[in-house]
Amino acid sequence: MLWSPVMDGGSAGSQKPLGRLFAYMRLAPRAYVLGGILTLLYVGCFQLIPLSVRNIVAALEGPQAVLQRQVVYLVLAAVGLALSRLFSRVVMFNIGREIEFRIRNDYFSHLQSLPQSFYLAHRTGDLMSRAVNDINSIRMFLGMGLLNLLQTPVLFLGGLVVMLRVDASLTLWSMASFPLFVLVTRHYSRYMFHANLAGQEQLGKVSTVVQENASGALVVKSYDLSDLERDRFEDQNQELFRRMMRVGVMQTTMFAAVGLVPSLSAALVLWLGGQRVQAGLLGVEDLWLFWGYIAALTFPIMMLGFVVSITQRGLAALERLGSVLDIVPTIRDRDDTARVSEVAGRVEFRNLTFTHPGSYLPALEGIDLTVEAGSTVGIVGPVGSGKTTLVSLVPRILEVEDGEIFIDGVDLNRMPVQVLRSSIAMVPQDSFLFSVSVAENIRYGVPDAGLDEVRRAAARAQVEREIEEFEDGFDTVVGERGVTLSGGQRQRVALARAMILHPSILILDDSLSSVDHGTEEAILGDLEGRRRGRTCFIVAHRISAVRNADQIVVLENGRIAERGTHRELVELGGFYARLHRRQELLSELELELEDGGAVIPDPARPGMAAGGARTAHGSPRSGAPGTAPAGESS
Amino acid sequence: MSEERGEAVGPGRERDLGKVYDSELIRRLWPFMRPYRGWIGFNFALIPVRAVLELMPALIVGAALNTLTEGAARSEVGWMAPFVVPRFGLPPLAWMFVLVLGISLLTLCVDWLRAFTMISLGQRTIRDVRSALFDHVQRLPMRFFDRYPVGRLVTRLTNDLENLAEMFSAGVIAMVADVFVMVVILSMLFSMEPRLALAALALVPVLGIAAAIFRYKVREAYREVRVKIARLNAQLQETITGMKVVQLFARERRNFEDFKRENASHRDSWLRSIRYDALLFSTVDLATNLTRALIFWFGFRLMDADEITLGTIYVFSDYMGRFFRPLMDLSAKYSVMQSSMASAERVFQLLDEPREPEGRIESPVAAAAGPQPGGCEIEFDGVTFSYGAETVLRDVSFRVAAGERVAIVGHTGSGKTTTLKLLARLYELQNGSIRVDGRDIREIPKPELRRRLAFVLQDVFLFDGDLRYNIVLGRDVAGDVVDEAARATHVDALVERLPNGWQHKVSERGVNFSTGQRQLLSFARALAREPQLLLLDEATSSVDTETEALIQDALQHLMEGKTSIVVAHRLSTIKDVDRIYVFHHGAICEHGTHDELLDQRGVYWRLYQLQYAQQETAA
Repeated sequence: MLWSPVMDGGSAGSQKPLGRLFAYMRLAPRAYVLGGILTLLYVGCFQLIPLSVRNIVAALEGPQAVLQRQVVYLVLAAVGLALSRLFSRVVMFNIGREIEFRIRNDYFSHLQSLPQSFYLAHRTGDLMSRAVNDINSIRMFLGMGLLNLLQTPVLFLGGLVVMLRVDASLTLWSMASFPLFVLVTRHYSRYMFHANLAGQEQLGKVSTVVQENASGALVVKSYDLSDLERDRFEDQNQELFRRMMRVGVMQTTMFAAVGLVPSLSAALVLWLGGQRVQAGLLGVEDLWLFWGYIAALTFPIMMLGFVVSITQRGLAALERLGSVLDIVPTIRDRDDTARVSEVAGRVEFRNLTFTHPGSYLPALEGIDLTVEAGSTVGIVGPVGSGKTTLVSLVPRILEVEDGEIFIDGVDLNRMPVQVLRSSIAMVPQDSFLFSVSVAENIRYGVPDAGLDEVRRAAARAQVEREIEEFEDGFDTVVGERGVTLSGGQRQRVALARAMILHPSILILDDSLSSVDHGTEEAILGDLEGRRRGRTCFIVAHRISAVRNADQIVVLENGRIAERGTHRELVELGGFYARLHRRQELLSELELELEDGGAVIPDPARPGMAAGGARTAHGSPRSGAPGTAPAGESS
Repeated sequence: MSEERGEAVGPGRERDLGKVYDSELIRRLWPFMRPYRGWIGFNFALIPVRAVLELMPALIVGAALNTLTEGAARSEVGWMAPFVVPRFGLPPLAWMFVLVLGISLLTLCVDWLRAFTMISLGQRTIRDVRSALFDHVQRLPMRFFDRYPVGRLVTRLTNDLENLAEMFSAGVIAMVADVFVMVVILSMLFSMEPRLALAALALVPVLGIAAAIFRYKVREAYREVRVKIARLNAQLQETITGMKVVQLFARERRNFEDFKRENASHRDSWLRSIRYDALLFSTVDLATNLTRALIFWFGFRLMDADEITLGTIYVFSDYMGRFFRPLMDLSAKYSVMQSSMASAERVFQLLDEPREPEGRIESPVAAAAGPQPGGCEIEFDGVTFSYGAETVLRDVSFRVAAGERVAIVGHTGSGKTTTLKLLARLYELQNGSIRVDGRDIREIPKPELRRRLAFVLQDVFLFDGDLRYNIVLGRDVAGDVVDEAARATHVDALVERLPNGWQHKVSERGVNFSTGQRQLLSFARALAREPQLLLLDEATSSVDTETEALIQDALQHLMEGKTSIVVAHRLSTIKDVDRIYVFHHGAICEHGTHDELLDQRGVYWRLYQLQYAQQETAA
């Protein structure tokens, strides 16, 4: 089955935030019914408490039996209230978590379906902030927000009906401040939101200074910038303090002022209600009723002000998330996808022109190139000439228009994505590794591969021995949570990750740049021995990596400037020939320096002695993987 | 939201025990709070004031109720009597309204002051901790930066400290105030009517047990939620960063399954904590209402015997509500304290990292002597150095006279770059010594040593700021020095092409410049320092021919008139220097001028032969 980017329903197509929310909510209708019933129960019990207190106070002067009954009512109401509150909260909050769970899943799977052009335009930090801050806002809205939004008006109206029946004008006096209160808190919390935002922004600036001082520690220390940087940090820190104080003071003022409302209402009831009691219009117990409501409604009403802004923020967050979720993944199987299950490996570029989204200059222009199945093409050219772009188009991690690239004669865009990607192994330039074990990294594309296979791949990438030397061998965790590999080791592990696949097309995007010359020889030699029926794209800065290719193209400013075999291009006397002259000189020098090991063998490093021996036996350019470790005998 | 930001809390990496209070951490925090102890004292002084203010309205209302039911004769409740006597000719109820309103306004002021002082204390303390932490980080040795991930460091100085700040607004002192009010309530209730007080407290032991169980359960639940969200976000971040690999290797489906599993586990932890939370809320609510029923029930009997008034019952009912209320937000406080403590622990761990040793205090004589123009003399004497178990330099000795140019060549990992780093004292010497103009570098204050040198690194680090800032690096550099540096390194041509010229915005990743351009920028940066000593670690990455020519030309200007030690990768550089040291596995195996080395017929000779042979083939 083909991998489809939209896994759980509710994220396809363009939707308004509320529509999107309803789409998620529709997924759990029964929970809502349950939540609704429990909420109604809660509201009912809620009304019973002040009422039964009132009745108890009225019965205090009367016979014990009446009081007894009323106290039992209060106890029952209290138990009912506790239970309905417990379950309605659990049910409502659970729904919130469930939706959060689904949204996060959708976000994750959607991100995986978006093309590389999206990642060039969006920074990781922004995408993470959507996952952390925006989903947080949505969670707040779905939990506290939604619960209060649904319950509080009902509670308030219910209380109002009861109170109005007792004394309309006293109700008006005591409740008048509540709606005003909601408006004020709502308004105020918006200011607070902006103050908070300003604080977060400043926190970002503080982060930048810290980050620079950590990443650039070598520069900061060797250029003696510590004092200057400290001053810079102090300024940012002081500004952060100022902004955080502002947020704090606003919050403080808000909370202090909020406390005034119920006190004012209760005091009004005492004064005005008391007069009515004296006039015989009301009983003392009615005052308790009002106080009971005021006390019970204060918190929900206070929350309502916040909830309005929580809701606004939640919907805004949903919209921001939506702007990512709404991007229709362009790289996916279409209706006219060809029925192809295998790729032989003939790649054809027909008058290909490619412009990166948001750029006005084409990265590639008028590329005509045919790479026969099983042949190797070398691609060289100055930095920024479009080499990486060209090879990134083949596995479709960048979008290309129809009719420009054909694989085995089928338009690239009509190739099933799954078939295409499983037939291509690419070693990208940056050799990114995940924070899992070396073995997991190598078997990334074939999770079921056994350790034998992993070892073989590592051996072919000339990294097996070094991995074995790690304390935990292939189980060594790499990356931020584990050991730090050298650039060359990372590249070779990334290479092993591609080697373990059996692709029809292999793409090396400057994948050997940090690998020393001898190792490069061994790796290329091994590839050459095995590349029967495999198409190879080798992007390189070093001539040595491409000189044996069937054809070599030189890219300059996105166009093919030269093409031919190594010999032809050297004779042509263009860019390639110049590069060749320069680099042969330098790389041979480098090679000689590293093979100095032959002159002064180091007993502590048996590997070096072997490397030296190879040179001693003759030409290092033999191309034979002479030092390939055992396990490579096949 | 703190540590949710993609920080991996791997097993054993970062301890998160879910502690709510750790006196050791508070003790360590104290020096930072000490300057503001006045705020703390003031805050404590306000606690009793606040308690009295909080308890007064109920007494007044109780008195008012008595006035209404029993007439003015028995209006007093507790010791509020002198206050409830009407004044200013107001009727009793109006007077009580004024009183309650007045008390509420006072409460508002006191509440504001308490919160304000707390926030001030918290934010000031955090600001100072942050400054101290940054200062500390700057003094940490290079070895620290080699292993500590940048992202984690940023989290320490931002989110962890923000978490710690929360402790002040919702933490320890607020709890002290809560306990104080509870004690005052109890003593007042017992002084008013001990029998009714006993009845009212009947449910407290039950609630106490419930709170203790809850304390244990919720601690675990919250800890779990925190760890899981961190893991989830780390996974998301890594997937985003490595998305290209994910897609190339068609791992989407499997990744999604993994993510979904983690996400579900996070959701389930949340659900558990929600259950405990809601349970606590409902239990406190229930206890409050049942206690009220108890008060009415026993109050009724006492009232029947005419021993108490309706006002007393009101006061009891009001006070017991206030007695239980702090338990309601217990879980919120728990969660805040827990994450503050976890953050504090991480912050102090960072503060415990040993600093790099300071250089000796600058003596007035040394400072007066100042640098001599025309470069300085360098001497390595038996230097041996290792990173952990791996020995990088073995008994390296050499001497560079003032104004000389020296190249270091050798295999990757042969200790070339380390030699430069040791000279800049980025790492501490283990054996042997390095002398600059005859003085041991350990006796030269670091700032002085580093003022005299310019280190051009392989990887050019660009700061957030404009282009000019990246050349002068915050120092006051005369305009013509900058212009000259730019001219000599061909940066001027680059500046001309930029629409904003010197004001062109540069970011850390510096994606707006090519590798070659970045190298030229780093040359200009070094030149603008007008150093006596140039330490140059030539970049290995290849650049296009045109830029290469520019770089070679700029290098000439760069090395002019100063002592230069270059880790060389360019043939042109090697041919150009006064002397070459060939490094092999951390030791110098050959040295001499280009011609001498050729005459020795050793490694360098072989190298040269090979190179000539190669040139002939190419021709």
